[in-house]
Amino acid sequence: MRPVLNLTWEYPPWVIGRLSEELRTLLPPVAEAVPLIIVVRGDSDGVVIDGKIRIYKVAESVRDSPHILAYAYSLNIDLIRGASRAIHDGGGVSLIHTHDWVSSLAGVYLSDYFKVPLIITAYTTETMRAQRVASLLSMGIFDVEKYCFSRADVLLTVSGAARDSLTKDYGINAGKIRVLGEGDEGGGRGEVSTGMGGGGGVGSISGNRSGSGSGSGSRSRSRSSELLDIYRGVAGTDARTYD
Amino acid sequence: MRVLMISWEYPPHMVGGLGRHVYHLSKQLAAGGVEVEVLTFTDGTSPMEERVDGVDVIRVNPYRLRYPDFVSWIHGLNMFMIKRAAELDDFDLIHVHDWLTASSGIALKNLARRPLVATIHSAEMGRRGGHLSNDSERHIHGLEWWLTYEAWRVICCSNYMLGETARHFGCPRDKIVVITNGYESASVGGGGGWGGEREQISAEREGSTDGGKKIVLYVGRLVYEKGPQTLIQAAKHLSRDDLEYFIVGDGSLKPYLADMTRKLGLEGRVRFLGHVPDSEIETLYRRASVAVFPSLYEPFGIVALEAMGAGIPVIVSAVGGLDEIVSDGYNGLKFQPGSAESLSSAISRAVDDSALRDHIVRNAVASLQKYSWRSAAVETARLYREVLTEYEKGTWKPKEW
Repeated sequence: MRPVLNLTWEYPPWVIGRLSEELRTLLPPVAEAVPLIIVVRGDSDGVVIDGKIRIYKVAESVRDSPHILAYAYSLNIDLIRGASRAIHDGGGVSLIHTHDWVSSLAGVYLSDYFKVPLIITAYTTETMRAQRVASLLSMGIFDVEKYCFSRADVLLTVSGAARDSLTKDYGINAGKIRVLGEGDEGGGRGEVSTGMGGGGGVGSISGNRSGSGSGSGSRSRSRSSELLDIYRGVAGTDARTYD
Repeated sequence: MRVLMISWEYPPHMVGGLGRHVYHLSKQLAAGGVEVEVLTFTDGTSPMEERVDGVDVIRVNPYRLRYPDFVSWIHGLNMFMIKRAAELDDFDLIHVHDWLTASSGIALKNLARRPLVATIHSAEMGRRGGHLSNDSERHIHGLEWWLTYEAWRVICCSNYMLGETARHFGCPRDKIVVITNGYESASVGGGGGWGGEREQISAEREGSTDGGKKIVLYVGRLVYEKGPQTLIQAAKHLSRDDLEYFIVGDGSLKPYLADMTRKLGLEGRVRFLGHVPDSEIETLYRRASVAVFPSLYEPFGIVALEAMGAGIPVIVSAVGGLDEIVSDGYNGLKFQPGSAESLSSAISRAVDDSALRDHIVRNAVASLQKYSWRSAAVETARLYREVLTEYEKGTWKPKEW
């Protein structure tokens, strides 16, 4: 199996919110079974080997943005830089997995260009974060989310609330949504912060960790196993993939 | 050689000189044997695909999403451009224009591992008078820097813009090539119109023969850096009843200019015609006595060439590309940028001295010879070949898998 390429705007030590911690728990066990690449917003361009994970970090090229939507649009071009380097240097990937809307635009571009399947994990949604999509900025984020989510081959969530939001607010076909850890005690992991700090507001994506807290090691392994099965299923059944 | 040309404006969706540039350059490149695909914008009123003058034009509509501001709108447009480009056949080289298509150019360069050529028509720092005062302006400046950094070579339209690009972005001078814009009188589409006022003015002009007023014509966007405010101040300074001022163009400064006109008692003498289709601008050029381009910032000034080609004496501010095109008293008149006194003096010289006018017009038409879109295309194609030769020698290539 060719590597699975994960795109995220944070992964330790490049931390913004709680998504880093979530991915640091989730992905290394997966990397034991399949080759794994992470492309992450970093402090500079470079390649770091972390256990069995190959991390391509990319520096932000544009330092000032009027709001998070413009920031995300330009950050995603940087993520494309890193991902393209990983794909061309490594000889391809079997699928792309992005985490929340802030890195999903790049996932859509890469999936289209290299013709590989796309998995998006939506930890929260704009309608969950903002309560009401009332401002133009919030509408802009909502539209980007809807655009990306609708293009994912598989849409993962970590809570029933996120799944409900995806089907009701975004009109996503429930058949392509999977809730990671749905069988866990407490009904899932709850929402994970992928924001720039602050609570609730537009684009900050700061959710409350409801449900089962930081989770036990066995539950993490379970979710990693679940993710691995999904990777194998998507890469193995899609005619566009290799091996 | 297949070139993917990416531009936010292209006929019939025109905003400024950039769209004319891309139209003429693409057409002449195609005439010279370069396969050109133009990837550009539509609002849904133009075909998604068509072939124009030997050029394949592919359009994307960004209005499928909502955007809080212009910067986001541009990013969204680029997003759809990247997606559409993934469906096109392979190309050898990508050529983008200004920050407006920087992100699609940078993304496609890295996705396809094909060389990127960028034309910098103007810079945010220049448009803002040397100061970036908010995060939107700094974001745009950042995208401009990024584009010049990622580009294999950078094209500027004047020596002035070469200096600006080197200074503002730290771009090495030996990476920049100056290829001037060309001149072609044919209209390039447009649309819109200026309604009843045109017919009214036309009738007025035809009715006024020997005793008629002389027209001082301004053509350009109504934005601060184009300097229309200087012309209105000059009209007040001149205080001549035999002159009237036609302001062609639209922009954010229009309410301010209209208010200024009223307060200075120039109503009826200064006329705002709004957006005028290219085909009708030529008629205006033929009727006007002098054309004024009072820019405070002007990387090239393609509109001045069009006026010169129409046989009308031009008065330009001594700034940027205009300063390179015009020699004072030879093929036009120049004045101090932003000085209403200096401009009013030049207007008086031009409208009162018919011998000077004839001299200027004759030389202006002759000096247009060096501004040809065919030459610009030949130089651009040569640059493409140089870039591709360097690219072929290198190891940065797409990997087959």
